[in-house]
Amino acid sequence: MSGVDTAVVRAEWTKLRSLPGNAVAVVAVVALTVGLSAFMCAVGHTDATRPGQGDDDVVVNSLRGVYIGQIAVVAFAVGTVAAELTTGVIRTTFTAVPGRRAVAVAKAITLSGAVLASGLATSVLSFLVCQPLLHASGFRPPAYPIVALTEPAVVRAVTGTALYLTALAVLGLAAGAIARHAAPSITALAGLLLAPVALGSFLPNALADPLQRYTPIAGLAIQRTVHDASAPIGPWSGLGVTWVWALAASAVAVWVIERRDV
Amino acid sequence: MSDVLAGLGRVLAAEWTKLRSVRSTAWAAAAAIGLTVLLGVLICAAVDTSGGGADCRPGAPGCGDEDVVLNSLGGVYIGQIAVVALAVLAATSEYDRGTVSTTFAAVPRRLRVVAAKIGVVGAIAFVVGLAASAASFLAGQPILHGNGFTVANGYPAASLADEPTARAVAGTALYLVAVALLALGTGLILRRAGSAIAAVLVLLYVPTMVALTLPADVRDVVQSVAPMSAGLAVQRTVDRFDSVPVGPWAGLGVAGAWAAAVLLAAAWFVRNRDV
Repeated sequence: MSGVDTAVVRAEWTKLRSLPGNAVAVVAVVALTVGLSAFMCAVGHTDATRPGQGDDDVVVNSLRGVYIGQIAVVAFAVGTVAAELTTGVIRTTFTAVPGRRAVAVAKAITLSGAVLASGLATSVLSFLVCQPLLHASGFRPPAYPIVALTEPAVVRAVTGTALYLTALAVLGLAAGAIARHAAPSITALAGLLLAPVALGSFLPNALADPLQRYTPIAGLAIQRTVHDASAPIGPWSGLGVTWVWALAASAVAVWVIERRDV
Repeated sequence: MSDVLAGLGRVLAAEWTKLRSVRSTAWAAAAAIGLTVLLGVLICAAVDTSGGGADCRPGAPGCGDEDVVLNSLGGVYIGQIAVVALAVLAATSEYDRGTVSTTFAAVPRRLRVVAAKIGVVGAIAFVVGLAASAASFLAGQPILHGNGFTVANGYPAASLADEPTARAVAGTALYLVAVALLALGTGLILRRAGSAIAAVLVLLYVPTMVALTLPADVRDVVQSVAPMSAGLAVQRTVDRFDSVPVGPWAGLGVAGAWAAAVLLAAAWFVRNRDV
């Protein structure tokens, strides 16, 4: 791939992993995310006892912690780039690597890699922790057959959640680079991700459906494993919408970075 | 005593100068009012009175039990985000630039600085909140009327002179004060704008987001103790099947208790920590 300089990628990786606060943040976020998923699975209950009677999506229930994880990913991504821009360290970076596009690509690669790996670990952990809790809450055969991590729909939901978080990391990185300050980017993105779902029951469908279909939360559709005819968007198209946001914002960010003084 | 008050007055004046002289405050205040009114108008334009058919059970959705006051104040779900940003920045922008060292050199009694920030941020949140909620209410009612929310359909006109309506509109402003103080405290504890804004928004929204899929008994508990779902009970003027099971003032009290608890923790951190 053109534009990827491994030395620059290694430099960005060193910046990312050498901040002691980052490791603490990752552990805290993984714990909170898995914790919320486990809470949702532990307190749920069902009265369904016959085959075909259960219509809850147990896979979605076990991945619910993503509501917290996604905000942490955005805050982390925005914070990473905004810190370098507001402290002026970016001038050192661009002196060392005058090809600014290479820096942007290297940042996107390292952060996406880190988020993809930790997002995958978090999703797998959430799923595995949740299954016995769901079983204890009454989600048992015959109404709810046992679901295994290796089933195609589960694989799609678990890896798709990690890909959704990765898209948000790229989106956060781009937003931070464009705005150059953490507060406005995080406020806008967190509001965009949280408010539509919280408003869900309150908003009329005429407003709620477009929000679920065209804003970055569309990607959460990738977690669905039970067919839902009334869903505003399909699993893969939903994830695609989130990635369109991420890539469009990245294009703008690269355009801005190459033209702006630092 | 008068010395203490005079001292606090000067610190208040200093905090007011700091807050009004940065552009982010004016932007966030304008965004809070604009977004609240805009979303309120959109909600009012989209709701209708349909659903009152033959199979209509009392209390079921869409059966003539819409809360016209609550609907017109729904914009606060978005507008509060700007209030959170304003209040967090009132705490963190000094830490970002290190000017907090200067502040504490000038006013070594740190709790006095915290008290002054509480006063200034709380007052701004109340004024902005009242402007936003009153404007939303006044803009929303004619739109609702045009959508069929008329006396003939069982919806008498709501007026700011009525107790429940006045309580809902003023209570929305008080709710935003609680949210602002919660955000101020979180900013003082975390000292980083991004982390603090993210943490406050998660605390406000995630309980409501997950409550939708919880079993009824757990959902009732979560919604009665979470700051946003409990606090916004103050907007309710009609009891519905999906109402949060907490009274309007009690719910506002829950949001206030969250703010008080976080501010206490913040005061402890500010007092006992290096800057």
